[in-house]
Amino acid sequence: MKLTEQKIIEIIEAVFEQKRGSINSATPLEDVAKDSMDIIEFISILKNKHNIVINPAEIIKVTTVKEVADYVLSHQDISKN
Amino acid sequence: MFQEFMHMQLVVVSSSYLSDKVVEEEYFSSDELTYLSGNFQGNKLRDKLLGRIAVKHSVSENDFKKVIIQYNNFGKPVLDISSMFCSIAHSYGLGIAGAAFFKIGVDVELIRNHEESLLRSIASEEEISLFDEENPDTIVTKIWVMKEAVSKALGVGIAYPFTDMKIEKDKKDYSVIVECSKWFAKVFLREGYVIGYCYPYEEIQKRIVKITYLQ
Repeated sequence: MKLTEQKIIEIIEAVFEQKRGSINSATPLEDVAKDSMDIIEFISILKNKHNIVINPAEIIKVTTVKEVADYVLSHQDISKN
Repeated sequence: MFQEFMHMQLVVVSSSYLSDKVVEEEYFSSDELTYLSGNFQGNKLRDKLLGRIAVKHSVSENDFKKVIIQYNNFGKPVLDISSMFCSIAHSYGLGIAGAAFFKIGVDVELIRNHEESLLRSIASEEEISLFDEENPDTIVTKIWVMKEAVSKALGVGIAYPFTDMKIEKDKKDYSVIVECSKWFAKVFLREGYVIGYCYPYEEIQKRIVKITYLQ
């Protein structure tokens, strides 16, 4: 099943232990990901549960949840090829 | 201003230490406070202050305001004394820093719930078997802290795969092998956090770590 921006937001809420509906696409990433351990956990979940491979060096360059979602969505087809 | 010492200084600062306003005035110039409060808010600001207090305390006995912390192009903290190495970390209201005249790295993490996939993405089965804890969240946090401390000592960032680092154990001592280098790595538990540090393995016999707690 293809991910959507909303689904990615829900994954981010779960990984970063945020209340459901507490973040949106404009939320700064640094408000939810407290440190690099959170980021690597998020990447490991995307790989294990959704078969999406993300480069950690790329994901830390983004600043908002929307940019994370855009990056992940643009890589989900690449990862499955 | 800087202390002369042969050992490694490790300073651990808890958030309760920050509650007294005098502490801020003792450690930070108005310029530094203005910069920090202008760029960080809330818990992020708190953790930045804790990390900076820790590093200032690790290199100086009382001239804390004069300790200037800068960052190099790789984001690694550097002091204005070139022969001294320092490393800073903070996590959820605890700040730590190490300083020494040899390479070091430190890290701290609050033990919290993690998906099992995180452990598998940073460690092999062989490495996981080196830890006796029953709680998988403690194991993953210990492994993370060891490898992150080495990552900081090397000055490599998040992009360096933790699976390219190998943890070994000899009796009670842990070490981390990265390419051609070997690092002595120590982790310990304190009030729900895992605190860790590392330094080059070849001088293990000479190295003493003096730990100071500010709370």
